[in-house]
Amino acid sequence: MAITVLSPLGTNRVDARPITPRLRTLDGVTLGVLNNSKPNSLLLQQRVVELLSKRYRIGEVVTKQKPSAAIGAEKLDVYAREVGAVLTAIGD
Amino acid sequence: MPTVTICTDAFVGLAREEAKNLGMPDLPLVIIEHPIGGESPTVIDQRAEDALPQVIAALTGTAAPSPAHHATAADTSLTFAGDDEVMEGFHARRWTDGLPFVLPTEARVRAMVAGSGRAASDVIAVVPPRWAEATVENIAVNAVMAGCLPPHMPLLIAALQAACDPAFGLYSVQATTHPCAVLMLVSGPVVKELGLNFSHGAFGPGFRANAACGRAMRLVLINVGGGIPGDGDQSTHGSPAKFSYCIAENEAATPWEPFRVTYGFDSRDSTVTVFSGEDPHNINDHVCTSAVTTLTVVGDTMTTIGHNNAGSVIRGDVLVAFGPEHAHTIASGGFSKRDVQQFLFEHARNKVGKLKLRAMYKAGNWPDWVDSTDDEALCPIVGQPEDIHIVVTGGPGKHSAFIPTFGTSKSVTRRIEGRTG
Repeated sequence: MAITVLSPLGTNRVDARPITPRLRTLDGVTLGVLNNSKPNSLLLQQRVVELLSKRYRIGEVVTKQKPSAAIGAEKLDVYAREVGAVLTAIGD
Repeated sequence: MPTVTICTDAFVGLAREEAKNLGMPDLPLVIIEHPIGGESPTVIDQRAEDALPQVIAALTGTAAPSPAHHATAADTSLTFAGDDEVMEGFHARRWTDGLPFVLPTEARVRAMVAGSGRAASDVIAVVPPRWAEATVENIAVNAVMAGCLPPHMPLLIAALQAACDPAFGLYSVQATTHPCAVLMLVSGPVVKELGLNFSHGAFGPGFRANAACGRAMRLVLINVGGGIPGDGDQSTHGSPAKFSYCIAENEAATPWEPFRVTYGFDSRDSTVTVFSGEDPHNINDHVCTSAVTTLTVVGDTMTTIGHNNAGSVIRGDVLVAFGPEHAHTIASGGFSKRDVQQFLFEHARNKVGKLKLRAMYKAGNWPDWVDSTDDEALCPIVGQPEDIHIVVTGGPGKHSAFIPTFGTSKSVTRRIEGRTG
């Protein structure tokens, strides 16, 4: 016999929005490196910046380091005014 | 702000879900081989080379952002051909903990909602990493599935509110590779009202209220929060505690003030405290007859460097669950609960040189007064004595338990409101 049950799921009510348009070039861009303190993560990001610097005239690099991956970054609005693009990372 | 996220391939599922759940489904990911931790500089160089073209494409590409779209509510009811089809359908959708469950029919859910004394549509919390709303009805559906009774609802609601307090950091507790679960510790008259076990087998099976309430919390974390193993829950091993983890204070056997009273609640109140707990680590001491010797054994058990609190000192707290016999040995030596906290804070310490073996835990997480340049200096496992929480639970026997936590999470206590009797 057919049976009707209720769903155990909740509802995410966050509206999706488009991402910021991409840049035409990285020349002259102040690059943000947002790091989560995972082992080797800052080294990886620094290596990527070094490789980018061989192809582009990157402006200043502003590194912001969280004390732990488990803690949200603070004052991101201020950081966003300092930099033109952000390179961040997730994973182990 | 144009942003690109480098992601090791083991975390792609979590990263994509998180981007979607926070309203940015088109956030570009740069995917590299997992892992990077513990790898040599040569390997990291290769990972960077692999990332480079993806980083450039993600920051300068012309991929057209998709138009904004709006979140939609999930279907609230489903019809199946029969009971077995419900069971198999829920398992197939990964809406369970893998065990059989009670079918959440509308009648059962309505009765469970009534037990809360609140409206079905009341939003209790927003649960990460899916960042979905948990209404009273959502909680009730999962409570039915777990085998709860309607009077359990006020406890479940208070526990979920506590777990979603920002201090608890539930996003990370859910998503981490660490095996932490959400431990519910109940204190007060509600313990007897609900029939929660606080004696023999306090952490174990055999008692409906503990088993069902702990399981209901887990099902909410899976079904509302999206803490599905391998997706929103990246735990390497998981934990038996992720099936059900609900304990109660043995107040009659406590030589000190009740747990809730320590935290400023009235003795007539009932409270639930949530910890981001690992499984209990046993403390066996059948020999010691004094407070100092017993506490020395406890402190030694707390002083291993494999748990997260050894290193993430400042931001975490831990729980010591004393068996009644150990508690009375200690209290008979004139130790108050505060004395116990102070003793363990001073004795559960590791040498800096030993902690340095764990490179991910840096001196930046240690108290300022710990000399990180001195390998012989001693570093505590928490930032202050008050971060070692003390409760008495369990039956006769010379055992206690130490529960380390996620390390960057603080326990949260909430008063349980509403009728439970």
